[in-house]
Amino acid sequence: MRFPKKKRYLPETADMFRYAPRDDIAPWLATAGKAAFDRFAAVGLPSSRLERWKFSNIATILKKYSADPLVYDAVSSDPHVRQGQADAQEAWVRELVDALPPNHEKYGDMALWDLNTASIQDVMVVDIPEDMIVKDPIRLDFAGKDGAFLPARLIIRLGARAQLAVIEHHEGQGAYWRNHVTRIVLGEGARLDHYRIQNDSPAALHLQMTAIDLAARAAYHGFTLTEGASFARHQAEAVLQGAQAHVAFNGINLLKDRQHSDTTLEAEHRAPSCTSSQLLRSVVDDQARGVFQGKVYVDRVAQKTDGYQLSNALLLSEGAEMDTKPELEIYADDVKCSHGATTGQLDSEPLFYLRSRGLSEQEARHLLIEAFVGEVVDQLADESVKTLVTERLARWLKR
Amino acid sequence: MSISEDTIRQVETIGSKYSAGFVTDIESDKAPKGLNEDIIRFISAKKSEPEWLLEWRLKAFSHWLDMPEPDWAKLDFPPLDYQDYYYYAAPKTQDRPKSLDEVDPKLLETYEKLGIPLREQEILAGVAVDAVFDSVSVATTFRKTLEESGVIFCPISEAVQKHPDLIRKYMGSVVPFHDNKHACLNSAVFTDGSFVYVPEGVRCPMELSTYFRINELNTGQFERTLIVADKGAYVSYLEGCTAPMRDENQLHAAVVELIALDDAEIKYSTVQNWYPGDENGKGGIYNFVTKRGICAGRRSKISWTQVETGSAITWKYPSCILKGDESIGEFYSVAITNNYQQADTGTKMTHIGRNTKSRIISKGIAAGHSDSTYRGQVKIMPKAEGARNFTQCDSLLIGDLCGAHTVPYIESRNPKAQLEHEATTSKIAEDQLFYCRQRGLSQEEAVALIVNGFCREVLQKLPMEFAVEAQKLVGISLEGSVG
Repeated sequence: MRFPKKKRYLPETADMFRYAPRDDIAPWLATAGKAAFDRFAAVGLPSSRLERWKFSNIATILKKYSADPLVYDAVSSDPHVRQGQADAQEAWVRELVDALPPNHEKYGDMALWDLNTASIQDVMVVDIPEDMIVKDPIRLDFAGKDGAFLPARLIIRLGARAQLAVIEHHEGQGAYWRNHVTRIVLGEGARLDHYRIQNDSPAALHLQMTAIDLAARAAYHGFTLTEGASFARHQAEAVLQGAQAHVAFNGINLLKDRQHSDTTLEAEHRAPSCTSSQLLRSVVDDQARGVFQGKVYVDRVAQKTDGYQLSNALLLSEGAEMDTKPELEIYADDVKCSHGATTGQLDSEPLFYLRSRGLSEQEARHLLIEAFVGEVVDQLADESVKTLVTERLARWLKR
Repeated sequence: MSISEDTIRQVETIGSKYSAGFVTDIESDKAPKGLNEDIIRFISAKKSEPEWLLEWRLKAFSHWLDMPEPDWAKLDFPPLDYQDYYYYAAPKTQDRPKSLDEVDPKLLETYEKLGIPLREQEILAGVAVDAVFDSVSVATTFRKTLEESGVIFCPISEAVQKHPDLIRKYMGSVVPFHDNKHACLNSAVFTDGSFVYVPEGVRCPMELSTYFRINELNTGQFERTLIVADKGAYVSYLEGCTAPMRDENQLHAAVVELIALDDAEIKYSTVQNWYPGDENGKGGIYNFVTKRGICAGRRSKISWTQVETGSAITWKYPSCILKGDESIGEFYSVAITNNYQQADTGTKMTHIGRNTKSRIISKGIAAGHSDSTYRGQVKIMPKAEGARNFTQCDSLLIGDLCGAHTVPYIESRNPKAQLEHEATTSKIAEDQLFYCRQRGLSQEEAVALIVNGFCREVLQKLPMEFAVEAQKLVGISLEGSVG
């Protein structure tokens, strides 16, 4: 046939995985895991024919690893975190683990989510009761070691008016594969500041999906620094279910060598008077490739929505690539939605200005790159994260 | 009083204001319904085509049979029954008329009713028109004047006979027959269209124009336009289209190819006003068009301007391949949808040469229950050093039952390229409306004025003759969408 049916999934990749739950796994999780594994095994990993995977071709990435075909057993080495009184046996936790995220039907590309459900041994739960304001941020460290497949399921629930900050650190050594799912449910007026510092090993695969539900007046402030991993996919989708909720996705990508980093975001407005913003600054050097797919979806009922997206990318060398797809899908008329995207190199005029003031070419470039990502750094609410990001940036520039 | 309340009421009471919706009662020659190799042979024989062209058509047809339909656009319509269309219909006349005096008066009357008075235009110097009625070209005006300057402007079927070398060289060179399912179908069954060749160094002395009219019931129109501007040539080309009001969905699958050599410039303007269907979404034209130009030479320029107000479904992405160094591509678009219309339109700018520039200005206006999508791609290839793109797409929503979507793909593979993209979606500002109303304009006049202002950047790019028509069309298309 001249036109073979385009494959939306890579069925052969399903053979890389084996369903092997530990003996001591909770029975309900074993049932959920088995069902999810069957769903995953029927299709395999997503191919670039799926719209949301258009720019990120898992098949070519896996070729790099296929010299020594690995079969991954599900082994979780992650710490079991508990805060408040939640227990993984509780019904609400089970429900969240069982269900796919609210808008999964729209894309039909949740194979990695299913693979996660099939491979977790337990669930990390952070549950903050109503009105509790947690002063110190919770720090979660995710380690990685060579040859491991690392799934983790994190559930964060904030009761009405609760406040919390979570700082995730992702680091490790060797070639490993992370497949994280984070499910966040924010009650009325709750606020979560969620920071991710992704500095995985240069040989690692970092895949993670975050789904957030926001009740009225809830606020989610997400920030991701992507610096590590040979292939990184940061997918986050927020559903604004109650009026006046607010979501902000901010991010900085510092990419070098042959790194591939994909940031796929969606703010789905399902209630009136909500606001959302997406701000991404990417610095792409060497042969690296950055991808930004941002979407604002506004339902008919979501009048008075204010949606904003901005992606700016700096390409520092020949061979670097940036693919941007800022998308608006709007069904309500009384809205203010806009997006902007720029791609280019450092401006020659400010470079010249700095050089004429006695800075070396390198100093001038570094200063301009610092200023470029500075706008995102300035918006960070947590001082310790701000200092950390500034340090990491300085180190990245000096490499 | 808010607009949305009015809209709901108005959408319910809207009457069809499509003025081009009449049917011309004229006898016609039709091939039997349906699509198969015999029909293609029949069309080819009717046009006395050379062997190679028939081969090409059949090759396209065999590809078409296997090819999947494009499904990525944000359009919702039932699957097409390709066997339910007539692929060839021509007004019954003996031979091709040599002058307008021999053209059937009924046809002349049709074009006059549409505001395209072929006869008068011959006298009042201005625009040279090629009129295509269903499957064939019925008249081309100003041929003599054009011939004197060396410009070839004739129906494509005639060009196949008279200028086979040019046709063989360029047809299918920009849009290959296997480009997509709709282009494939067109390549197999295209019946007529216009051919333009502007020789080296010639500035075409007048605007060229083709007017397409679908008249017959259940007929598809598959025209093909090929414009070649040789070195240093300039041509401005206009295209208009209408169809009668019918309850069935009619199919229009066209292909347009533009080729600009060194220092040449082609300006292509479209005012698309196919029948959009009635206020309940019944009937209307399915408009699947593949338009692409190549700036093959250095410093060449292709500029697309389109005003899309008609069609039940619009699937159309006029594109530019910027191959020559320092070549320029432009896309200016206004797409207005009302009632149950759906439009998925945009452009593709592929930067291959150094210092190539492109500019995209798109204005989408959605009213009623309609959906309007801008889908565009800007692609910078690794060698396109110094490439520059600016994109702006704005959408305006009138009423809360319609949708406006923006789907841009921006891919840059050269660090010395500079790309800027911005998009906004909003509604008509209350204070602007209030200001206009306060100065004595009715709500409807005020909306038409504001929308015209919103589209001004694009409408200004149209040649004068079209700009006035387009402005009126903007008002008519939105009639009844606001109180």
